[in-house]
Amino acid sequence: MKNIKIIIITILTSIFLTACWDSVEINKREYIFAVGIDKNDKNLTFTAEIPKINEGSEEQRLVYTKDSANFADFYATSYLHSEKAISDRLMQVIVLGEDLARDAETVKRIFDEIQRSPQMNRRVKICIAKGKAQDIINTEIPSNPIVGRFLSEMLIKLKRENYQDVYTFDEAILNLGKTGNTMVPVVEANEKSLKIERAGVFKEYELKGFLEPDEVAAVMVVLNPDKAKIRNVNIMVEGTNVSLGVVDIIMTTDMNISGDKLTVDYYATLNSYIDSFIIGSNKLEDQSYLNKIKEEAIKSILTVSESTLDKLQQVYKTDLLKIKEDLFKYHKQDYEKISDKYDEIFEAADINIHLDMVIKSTGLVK
Amino acid sequence: MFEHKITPYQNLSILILVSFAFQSILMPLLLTEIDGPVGWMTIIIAGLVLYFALKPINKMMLKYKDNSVLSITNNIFPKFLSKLAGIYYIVMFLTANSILMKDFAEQIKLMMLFRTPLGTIIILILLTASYATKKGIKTIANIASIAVLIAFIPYLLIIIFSTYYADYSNVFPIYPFDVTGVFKSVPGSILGFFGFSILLFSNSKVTVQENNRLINRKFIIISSILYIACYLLIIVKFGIKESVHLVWPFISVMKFVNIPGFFFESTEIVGLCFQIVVTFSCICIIAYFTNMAMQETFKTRENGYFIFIQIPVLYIMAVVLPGMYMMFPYIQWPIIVFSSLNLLIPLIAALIDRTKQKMP
Amino acid sequence: MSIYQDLANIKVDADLKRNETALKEVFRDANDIVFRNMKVGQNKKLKILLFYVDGMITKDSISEYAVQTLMESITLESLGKSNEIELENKVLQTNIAITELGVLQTLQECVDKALSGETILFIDTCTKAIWLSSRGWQLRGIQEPAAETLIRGARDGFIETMKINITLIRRRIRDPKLKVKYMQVGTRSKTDLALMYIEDIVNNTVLEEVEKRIKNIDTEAVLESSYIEELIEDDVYSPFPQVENTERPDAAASALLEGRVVIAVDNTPTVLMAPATFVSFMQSSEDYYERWMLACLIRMIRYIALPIVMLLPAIYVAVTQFHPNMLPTQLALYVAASRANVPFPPYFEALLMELVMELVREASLRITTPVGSTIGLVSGLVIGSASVEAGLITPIAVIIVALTSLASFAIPSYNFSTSLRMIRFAFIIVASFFGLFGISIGLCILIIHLSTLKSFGVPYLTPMTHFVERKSDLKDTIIRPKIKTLVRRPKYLQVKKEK
Repeated sequence: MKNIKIIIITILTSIFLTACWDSVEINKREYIFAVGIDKNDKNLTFTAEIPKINEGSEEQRLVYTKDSANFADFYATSYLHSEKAISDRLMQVIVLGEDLARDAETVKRIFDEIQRSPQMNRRVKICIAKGKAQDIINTEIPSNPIVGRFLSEMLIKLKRENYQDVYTFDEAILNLGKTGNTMVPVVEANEKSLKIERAGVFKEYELKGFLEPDEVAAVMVVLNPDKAKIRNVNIMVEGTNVSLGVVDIIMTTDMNISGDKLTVDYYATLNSYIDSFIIGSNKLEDQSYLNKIKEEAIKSILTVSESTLDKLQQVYKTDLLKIKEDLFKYHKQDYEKISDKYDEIFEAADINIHLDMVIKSTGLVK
Repeated sequence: MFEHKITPYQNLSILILVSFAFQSILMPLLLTEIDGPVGWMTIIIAGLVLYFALKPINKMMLKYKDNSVLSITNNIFPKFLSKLAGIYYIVMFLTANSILMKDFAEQIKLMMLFRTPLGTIIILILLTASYATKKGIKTIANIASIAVLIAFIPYLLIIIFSTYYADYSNVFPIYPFDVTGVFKSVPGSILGFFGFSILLFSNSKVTVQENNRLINRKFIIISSILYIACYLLIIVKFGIKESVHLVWPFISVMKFVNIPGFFFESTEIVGLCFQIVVTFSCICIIAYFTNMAMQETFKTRENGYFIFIQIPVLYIMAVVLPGMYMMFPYIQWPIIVFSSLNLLIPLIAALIDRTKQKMP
Repeated sequence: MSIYQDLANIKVDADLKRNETALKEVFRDANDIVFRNMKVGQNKKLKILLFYVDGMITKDSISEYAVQTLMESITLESLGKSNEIELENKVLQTNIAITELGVLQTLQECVDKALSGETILFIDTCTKAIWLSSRGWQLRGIQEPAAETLIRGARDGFIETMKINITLIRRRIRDPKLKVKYMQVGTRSKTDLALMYIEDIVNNTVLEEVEKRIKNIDTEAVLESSYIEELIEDDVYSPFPQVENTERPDAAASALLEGRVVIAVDNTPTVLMAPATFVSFMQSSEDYYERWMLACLIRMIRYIALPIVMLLPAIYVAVTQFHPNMLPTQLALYVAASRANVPFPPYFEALLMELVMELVREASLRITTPVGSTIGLVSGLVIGSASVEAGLITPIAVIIVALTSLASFAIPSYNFSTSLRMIRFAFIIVASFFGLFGISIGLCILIIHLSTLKSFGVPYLTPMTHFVERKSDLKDTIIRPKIKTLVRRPKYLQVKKEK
């Protein structure tokens, strides 16, 4: 019995000693921080950013471009071009080029590969490049040379401050699965840096167009009123510039389907504060003046909101407000009757925003 | 003084652990079979069925103290039928164990050791579990208790943190719900309560058998709550539309664990480490009761050495079987058969015993 | 047959000369054995022989309380021939003023007693000898135990003399139900051993088992309590100790009050306590002397230190070789950068540094105390920083190993922390093969082993293995509850009186 145990242990040890199949030291890997994917005639162009591992305080990177069919192909060919093992486990951000984003089939293929991969985290950030993703990855930012880290931190900040709805691949794919639509941040070059102001409108995995910053803010107010803010509402009241901000939004929604007619009413109460007025004037103590400010502000906000809604309904025909999802969850019976022709119904829907404003504070002075 | 039997709450730990392992394997089935996020109804129905089935079974087991279901069927059924029941339980336990091992090994391979051969991972888990199985029920019960404390509870706590990214409105719509789907998935849910099959054997090993009824009921209630909680956790995170595409929902959920201040990034690997301990406990529990079933079917004095027969059988079955996600299209009927037999064999035994009792 | 083998059969002879000859034959070439012939009684007619080991007795007490009184006694004249009854009445009860004495019948008994430090008195014409308590060798003073120092708590510790150790415990438990059973182990060393327990608390099954195992000890010499520990424990092949030891009388008293059995061994300043569980090795006397909240924090830190001691180097190996994505991005890059010029793989680094730490630890034990700790510190610093500068290891590895060593000092029991240190090497090896999966499998094997392990019938992992049935025991594991709530003894010992 003892001999059999010794034999078994010897055999197992010798098997395991040939092993360590997955053992690759941390310094013998190359970590892709950001990858940009563009479409070319035949294939896809992958631009990968790999931080150079060095002991100095300067951060250096390697940017590597290759034409490949998909991620697996890209890794396979990259493997042959470097002394280190390529690894996507620390990937921070994926940038899709504008051309690629407009090709639904390619986007579906890429998204499928990302969600299927056990190594690539679904929490990888995602954004669309205005133009080529390769240009974005190649941008040299003096303050933060690693573009992947820069974009990742910026997207986290934007999400936290509720500037953008989606910042990770997971959110994008969940939205596309539930409603078929999503809003993805758009990254653009900005002198010696990058900026994310706009958002791309995706419908059925295809980029339809872009939303400007104030349009994005208007959509965010409806999508996430609890965390939304409206910054910098600039109006003219009796010849004076007034600047307001809205910090707190209380919103209720009323949805109604009768036949093929969808009516959605959003009732929002905006709790606002005065950002700036003019020194010397004490008009803010006058209630009627405040009411005028409220009227003008509501008019200004409504103008943007209504134009955004119009754009979504008529131009992009994309339900970014997740009305479809709410109908499915809370009015399932009615939704099932219209589910196959939802797009037409959304286009013709009567979506109204009703605003009410309360000026909560004028700051530290009257 | 220190008996070689298990305590009632160790029995409870065993039942809950084993059930949890199978609930996580069968969760994709529950998600796909029903159109809508109402799988919790199925779980409640399955729980109720088992809860009420326990009463006659426990009564019978209390009457035949220290006897497992196979010993009881030996007394009640004709010889041929009792042998058949024994073989059924052996085959069921072996199949369940090999599926559990295979499924888990695949998860490990995919998430932790991508280039390591699957056979190596399986043999490691198998040999470790066999080491425990050989030690007997007392050791296994101790392992189950420890696994609950140091692995199971932290595992559940960790996955709760994935609710950071959750959208609670994903539990809607509740009405109208897919009635056909709900009832169609009841057999799968019943099988998810795998502890029900185990308790038919483990109850005979408990010190205070009068407490078995209460413990078994607690098992059904706790297991149902856990099952529903895990189901809802997946739903609130992914929504029903995305959940149906997931092969291993728990791994996907664990990727989104966000513990404030926790520095590890790939939290699914941390969760998998805990899951290794939980799954290993389940494998050795099932292996032990397979030994017991073999002992009672083949009427041997000891059961410890059956593990040496089990090792090659389990290894071959685990290596040969396709992955769970590949089997899903074909396992509908086997699930119905297994869950029905699991329920019917002890119930019929209880019924026959009661009838015999009433007859003069 | 040699005289050594026959001693048990040779009874004390009435003729002094024969006794002396036999004993001189036994102790041939043993120049520290003294034979002193005397004539006592007022008329100096009665012959006696004193037989003792020089250096083991207090000569003054024998001279003053035995010899002197015998010399002046008039009653001895009338003793007559071989009159044992008169010997007992007159000599034992009236003439000798020593507090402890007794009667011996065989030469073997005389030899055993003499070698234990007693003085043997042979009286001419008597077929019995008398042993007089005269132990008086040089003792070490009672000092604070070196290995178990506390900030707050008693500063006395056990010494090499068993009887004094028993006294130290008796002072803390002034209960007549505290029993002390003397036994002897070792065919040559004949080491004295005292089994202590509280009669109305202790579990009789455990007590009988301990006694049985001690009686079954068949060895020539027992030089330290660790011999007995190894000879009576349940599983000798386990890296984990199953019998606890302490140099503190308060810890021993606490163990007795819990219902455990304490074994005090002569010539050892360490007593053994059985049964012992995993949790008992993680407890320290100081936990009960500090405020309960502070004690809770300290205990939690100890339980945090436990996985650090066992697993931290292995986790380092696993993460750097198999799962670098687990690290925060910045840290992963830093670790990769620091490893860029290191020639050794992580597992070799970890093993090498652990080996160096063990060498430093061993070396500092051998060096005399004033210099030892300094050398330990210096060698750690020098080796660590020099190795980093030479590019042999990474700074992270030094930190990992230093943290692990510190954590091992947080474990109160030296035995137990040594076991954990041993296991650490095994975990590093499995981690180098299979990463975190290997560590988990190693943990599973460890759990199996600990679940099987018992200490005199008590499962080693109690009360965690019965955390519902014995939840009252759980309250004194990771935290230390208020003294007021500690009213019941641990259920897992199944003592007679829980309260």
